[in-house]
Amino acid sequence: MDIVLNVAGTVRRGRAIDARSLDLGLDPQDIVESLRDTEDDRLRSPDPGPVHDHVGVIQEGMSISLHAAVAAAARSVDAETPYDAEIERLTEERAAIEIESVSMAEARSELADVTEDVQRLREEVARIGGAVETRRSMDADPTTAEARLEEVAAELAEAETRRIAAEQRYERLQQRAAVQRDRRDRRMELGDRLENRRRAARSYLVEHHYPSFRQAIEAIPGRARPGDRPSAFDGDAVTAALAIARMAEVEAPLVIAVDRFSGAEQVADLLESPVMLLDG
Amino acid sequence: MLVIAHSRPVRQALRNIEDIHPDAVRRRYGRVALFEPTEFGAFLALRLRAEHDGDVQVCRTVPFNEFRDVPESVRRAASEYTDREDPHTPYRTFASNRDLPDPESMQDRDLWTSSST
Repeated sequence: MDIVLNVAGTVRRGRAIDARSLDLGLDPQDIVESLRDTEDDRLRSPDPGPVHDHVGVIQEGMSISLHAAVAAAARSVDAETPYDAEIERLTEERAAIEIESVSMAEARSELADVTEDVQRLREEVARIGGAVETRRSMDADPTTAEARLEEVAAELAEAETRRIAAEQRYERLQQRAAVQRDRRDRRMELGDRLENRRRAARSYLVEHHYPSFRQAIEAIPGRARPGDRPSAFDGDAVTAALAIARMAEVEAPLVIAVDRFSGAEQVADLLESPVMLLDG
Repeated sequence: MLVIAHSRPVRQALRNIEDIHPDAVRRRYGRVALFEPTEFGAFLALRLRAEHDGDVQVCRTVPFNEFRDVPESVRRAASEYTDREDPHTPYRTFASNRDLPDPESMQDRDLWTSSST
């Protein structure tokens, strides 16, 4: 797929695009967004991959997680690990877990309301009952109060029925939610095991491919002592990133916003990748 | 206020909350946290639940009062069995010799329902 930059009437295409003096008002973030957004027509290219998460934009002052970047670069050249079959199995198993969302807020709200009603009505029954007693003891006519008491007692009975129904509904939902939580826990457990295997796979990849990184960095202008592992790397992040780009295989362009190079073709050849140069 | 995580992101969120609001979190044990029962604790819990739905479980805990909530026979069973002479006697045997509740019927009887306060 051809890589085409099309901004404000300016068109550039190919694997080595120099957008530095075009004055298009583009910054690296714009390019990254355009790469990720298939509907953004400013830049048409293949989709960026995992390597782009690490070295998609190379600029001064950047930071890089070298261990993860080496692993991503290794994967980009189809490196495999003994953990891959299990990673695939765990991924499938995890994706197959179906979780249902059990909506309980309404049931809780209803339960709270009806419990409050019952409480209020009980108090009112007690109050009116007391009033009836008082009237009788004073030989006054309790009829009106008695009638009111009967009304409120009926309301209370109805509210208590509603509350029992609300409690039962709540119980049933709770049981369904508990079943879903079992599934969520299972999914979480698989996620933990999956991350564990992925971490082991990354370490395996780094162990077997750090030599490629050491080889790649020899071709990069800049001072760096790679050491025998990522934690022993001594040098600047830009140099490391450039070496990662060189050792990896990418299809979408890398944004290079550093001042070390004279032309886009030079960089594309050095990194063996499609590039777009921007001002640093 | 007990907050239980049922997903990795929620578990991470509990760690973050403990870091950012240490006064709001009384204890955290991995994926389970005890929030202080303040409005702010509720605010944090409700936000978590709004964002992560069923992956967040929120419970109200109360100290357990066995004299209020547990039948006397069960309390007696626990203390008498603990004080038994022969450490090798299984509870089932111990209970049948002493008219104490058997394990099966205890399992069948709830102390309280999940909706009661």
